[in-house]
Amino acid sequence: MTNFAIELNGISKSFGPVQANKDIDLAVETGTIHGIVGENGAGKSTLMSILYGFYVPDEGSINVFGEPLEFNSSQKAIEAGIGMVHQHFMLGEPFSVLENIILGAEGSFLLGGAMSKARETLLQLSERYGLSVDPDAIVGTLPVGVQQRVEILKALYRGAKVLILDEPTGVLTPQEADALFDILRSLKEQGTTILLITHKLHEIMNVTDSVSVIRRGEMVGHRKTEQTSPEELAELMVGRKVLLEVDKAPAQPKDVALSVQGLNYTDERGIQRLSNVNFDVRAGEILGVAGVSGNGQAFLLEVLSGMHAPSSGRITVNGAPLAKTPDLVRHQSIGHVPEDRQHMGLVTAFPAWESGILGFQASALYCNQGAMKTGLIKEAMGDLMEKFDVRPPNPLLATAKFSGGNQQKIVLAREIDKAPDVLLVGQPTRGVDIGAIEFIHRQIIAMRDAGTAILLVSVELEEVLSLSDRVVAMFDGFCSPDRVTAETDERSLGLLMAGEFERTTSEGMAA
Amino acid sequence: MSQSRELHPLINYGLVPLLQLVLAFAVAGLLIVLIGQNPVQAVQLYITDVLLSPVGIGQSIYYATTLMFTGMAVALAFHAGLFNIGGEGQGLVGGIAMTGIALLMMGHFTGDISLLLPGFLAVPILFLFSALGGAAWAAIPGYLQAYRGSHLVITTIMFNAIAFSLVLFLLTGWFQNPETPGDPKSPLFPESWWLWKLGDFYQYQLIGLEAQYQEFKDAGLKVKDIKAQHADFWNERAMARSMKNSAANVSFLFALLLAVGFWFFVWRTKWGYAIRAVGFNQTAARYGGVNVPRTMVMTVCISGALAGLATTNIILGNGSDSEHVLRETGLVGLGFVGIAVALMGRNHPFGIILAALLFGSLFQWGEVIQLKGQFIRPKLDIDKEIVVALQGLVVLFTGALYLMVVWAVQWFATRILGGWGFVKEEIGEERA
Repeated sequence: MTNFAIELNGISKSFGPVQANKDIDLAVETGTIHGIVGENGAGKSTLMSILYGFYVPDEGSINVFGEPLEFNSSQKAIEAGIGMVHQHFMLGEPFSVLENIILGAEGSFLLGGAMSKARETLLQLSERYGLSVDPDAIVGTLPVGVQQRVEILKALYRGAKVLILDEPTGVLTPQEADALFDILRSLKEQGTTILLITHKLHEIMNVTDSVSVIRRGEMVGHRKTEQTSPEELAELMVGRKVLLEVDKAPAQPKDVALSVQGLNYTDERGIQRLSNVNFDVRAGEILGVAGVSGNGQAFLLEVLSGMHAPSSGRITVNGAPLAKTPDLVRHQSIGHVPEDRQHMGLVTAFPAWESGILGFQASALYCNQGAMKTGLIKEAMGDLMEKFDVRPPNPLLATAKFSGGNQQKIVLAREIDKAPDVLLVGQPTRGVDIGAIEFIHRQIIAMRDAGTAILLVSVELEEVLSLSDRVVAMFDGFCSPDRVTAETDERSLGLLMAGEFERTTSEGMAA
Repeated sequence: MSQSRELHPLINYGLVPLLQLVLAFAVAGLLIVLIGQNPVQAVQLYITDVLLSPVGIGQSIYYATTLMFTGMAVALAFHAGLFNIGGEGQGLVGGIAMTGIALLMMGHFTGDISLLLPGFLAVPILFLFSALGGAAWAAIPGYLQAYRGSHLVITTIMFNAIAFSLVLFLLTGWFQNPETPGDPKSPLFPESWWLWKLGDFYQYQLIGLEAQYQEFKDAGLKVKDIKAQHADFWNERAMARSMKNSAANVSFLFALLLAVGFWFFVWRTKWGYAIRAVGFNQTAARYGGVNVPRTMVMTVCISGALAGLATTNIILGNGSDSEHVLRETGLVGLGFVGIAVALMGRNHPFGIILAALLFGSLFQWGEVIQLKGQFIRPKLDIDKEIVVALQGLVVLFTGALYLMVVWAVQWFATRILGGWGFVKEEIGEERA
């Protein structure tokens, strides 16, 4: 017996001509928290999928607690004591916590026995690890942080001694993330081994004992967390030095360019998505919108870009009321970098030159009497792609073939190139790698300095804090009063994100 | 990191369809063996009497013309992510609209023939009305899909049924040819409106009939004996002799022009851009300022217009002098075959032309097998419905089992040829 919970020896995996994992060695000590960082597409997910039995590696072997693991069977991985908490929870929302826990482990066709056994075990687990959850609560009604706890309990119930968490904090407020880290530490104390996959370096520094860095399918470094620094890890991930701080001059705000007063939006199913939202954005400043994903930010952007009509309220752009369709809104000089580039910002099946004119396909710039100026567009796109450092700068390549960061650069290039008066930006760096994040941040700051009013929506608190001049938080469709970014911090913004501000409806009623 | 699954265009667009065809033919051959006939003989007929015979080629082109219209109809809707399988009904209503305006000009309703325009004026009007009729018939399902969410597949199928009833109602009433009560067809269109034939090809029947005629003569029968003893044969031969031209006509050239226009419209105009954006991703299209429901209705209407135009080939371009009439058979099933043509042509006009010619030749093959099979020795006793089975197999292999062949080729290219045959991977670098 070694004291390693997991040992990967020379794992390689290719998909056709692409090598996703190349000769990967990894040893995780029992009872530690081990972080794995790497850029998107570096091969983290492939590696974890191999460990969890979804893929069979071409070469290499895996030992779990000294025993060789049979590949290609999640059942075998579970039996060996591996549990996985996915980024997107695998929970049946209408089911109770207990029902979710026994799902797939019912034992017999009668539920009664499993339920009472599970209730007992759940109680023990909750006590032992300090994971308090009401077993009869309906999962769909629980806050996200608690749902995640249910996922962890589910894995522990199946006897997991090694827990893999895939980007676990993406959906949490800073307070919820802290609570999660407390849980992880207490799990560690009880002897559980934890593999934490993340791209947030401060989480690695905060909670892990050791960390491994993957770059382009290869392990490029193993470090003891206390002996490394975020700068070193970033450099290992990218392969060169990276500037983590955003460098910017103080804003020079001018007139109000975008004004939102008493905005309400109720969707077609009758659910109120935005409640009495008020803010102004001035030319030459960035207003950040912080908040946990799903608190109305997406609807805010879609209303402001003309994709949904507001139910009530007043939106003005340079003093004029907001137009009613995305087409007309664009003519009002509003640019929109949508939250979801894959499903909204781009047509991934189009070649880059066609995606690069989405929204402007009918403008005289690219179109003459309905016929598109194909040659001119391709040439212009080629130049633009060079300018925004899109790789490869090939306008004929299908949009889907570009990596996330480069797709985002195509969207940004398209919107920024038109030099709009107002720029709506949603999650500018979601799924984008550190190297590209730096570039995108610089572009946004440059836009601000050129006098554009920018509304920046992001779930990455660090990003909001480092880019914005003023910041608001959204909670349950309400928008907090603004704070000057320089005078606030992650803690107090976290409270706003959790809804700790006075929420009034348009009628002046407290909600 | 993802793997390049994209095969080289030559393999993807050349080898893969070819393999699919070979598979379809192989299975069809098996069917022929199963019914105790000789598939080699059937293939021989395909080569000698379809591919190498002027009549066969002409007739193939004639069928292909209809299929190009109906194939493009299906393909256009497909680019907007819509499945218009109402080509048959839209063709019928296109025919109704065309016949309506034609009968009006012919004085069928009023007895006034002062509107009987010469061909060069009348034919464009007839083309226009056939397109309008098809578009109008597609507009309702299109509206229901775009604004009410009623599935186009369901509604167009139902509209096919309504169109069949409608045309029968008209052909036994207002549109009925007064000279042929009991035979539901419209009066004959005037000869000056018939479309010019592409060639002076003999009808295929004639070959078989002449062979039979020769056998009778060899057996010592005189003409009047044949007339008396084999009246049916004699009439058939006379009719065949009268149909000297194969039916291929100028609407084939029109369809070719339309195919070029189709390409330009879909890939080189803002409207085509909008259609494809809607087809790939409605959210992105809406984000891009496209009015999605309106684009859907417009696309389905143009699709219906294309299906409606197919009827001009059948009525104005018919190979038989007495058949320049509206009949309840409409597009004779070629509206449905258009789906297969679009499928096999990968919704690209160039592919559609090739697929239409293939399916057109298969149609002609069916006719030849049925009519000439009796006269060759040993006798080939297959119904022309074998072609329907073959078409079904082609659709199966190019459509439902499309990926099976692709996977097989990919497997072969990866495992046996060591990655040869794939497009070289070009994925964006992650550096800024």
